[in-house]
Amino acid sequence: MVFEVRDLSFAYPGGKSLLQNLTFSLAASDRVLLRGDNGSGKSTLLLLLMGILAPSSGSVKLNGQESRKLSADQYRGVFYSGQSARESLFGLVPRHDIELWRLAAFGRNGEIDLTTLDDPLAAKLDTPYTSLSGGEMRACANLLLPFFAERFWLLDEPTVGLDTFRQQRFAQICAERAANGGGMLIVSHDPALAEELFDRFLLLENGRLRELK
Amino acid sequence: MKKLHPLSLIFLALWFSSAAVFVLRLEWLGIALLLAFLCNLLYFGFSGKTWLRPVVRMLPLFLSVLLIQALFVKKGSLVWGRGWYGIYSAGLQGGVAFGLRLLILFFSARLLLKLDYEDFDAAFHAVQLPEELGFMVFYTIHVLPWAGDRISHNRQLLRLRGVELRELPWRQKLRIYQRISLSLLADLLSRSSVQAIALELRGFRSGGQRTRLHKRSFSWRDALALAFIAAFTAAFFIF
Repeated sequence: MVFEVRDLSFAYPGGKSLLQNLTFSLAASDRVLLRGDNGSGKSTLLLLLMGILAPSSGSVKLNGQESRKLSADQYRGVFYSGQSARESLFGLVPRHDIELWRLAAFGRNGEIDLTTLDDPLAAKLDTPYTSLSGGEMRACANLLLPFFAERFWLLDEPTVGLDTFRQQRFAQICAERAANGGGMLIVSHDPALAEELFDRFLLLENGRLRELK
Repeated sequence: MKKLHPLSLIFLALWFSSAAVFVLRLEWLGIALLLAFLCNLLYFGFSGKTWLRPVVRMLPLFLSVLLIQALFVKKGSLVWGRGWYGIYSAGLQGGVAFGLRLLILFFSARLLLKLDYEDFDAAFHAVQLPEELGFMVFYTIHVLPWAGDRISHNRQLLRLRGVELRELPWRQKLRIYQRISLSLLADLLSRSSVQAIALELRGFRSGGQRTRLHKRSFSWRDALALAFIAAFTAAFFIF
């Protein structure tokens, strides 16, 4: 799985140019931390990678195919979780979201063993999202990460709102991933996210992407 | 057109949609459609992308209604016949009228959708109606487009996870649509209560003095638009 970005520029309708001529690639085993100021375009870049937004110019390809033209099965190599946890969750309660992930990963006859979920949220799978806190919704969006180790993770601010236990658990999941050679691109401002987890550091600044050594 | 007072624009939209519902004669429906289209053109400019695509999407609905009316309505004069079967004028007229009505409603709705909350507030304030009513009308008008966006968002969520809805068996599809509609309803309810609280917190009340940055008043354009409506309504009743 590889993302290829060539001369990517983007501006929201009526807005000034947010991203200018970005060129970079992501290999399946890259562990990338993307940083940048608020409003610098980090989340927008992820939306462009996933084909949710169309570039103003340039191209974004996933495995050689334009992201905007990907079919559903071509997304099976990526686990994307957006900046808003609620917007990333499906249905009315966490169980609905888990069922959809099960369907996506294992088909109709597959199973996710819910007894293995190492999170207090496992007791709240039938609680409506409207009754969950922001942190719990974020935890819910991260809940199934260990089940999708074979996918490339594109996570936008995955630790925002998490309590200490969940932050530590997320760091542990990422450490396991780093040890197993799994790839990920994480957008985060969280200083607690250990830099040892990553092998590439990107900084988005004034519409340009800079690789930090 | 863009300088019209929001109240005039609401009147125009209401007038067009009333015409769509109450006018029976095809030629008058055609005129109302033309006027609604012209209003859209003046207001939004000529952008085929924004109105042509939804109109093309509605085509199968128009054609199926036209077909059903032509097949089953046996009133009026015979337009075409062979053997035991015939197509009658009332059936054709009914089908065409349905298409025209739907298009008029579509163009009226587009006019209303362009108005934001400030516009509804200004319009309702001009006729001494409380802000809450303006808010409720604004909220109701935007419910359908919002629901459409939510459905698209949910379909996108499926696609991004690698689930192709078309490939699923109908039972599974129904289950997913059930989940989508349930979450839609829940979101709608929670969103409306959040909006109501936000409104209260900003001190919106039905009475008392309010601070306004800019008060929009009626101009000659509004008088012209209203006179236009009155003239056409009178012409409709006379002829």
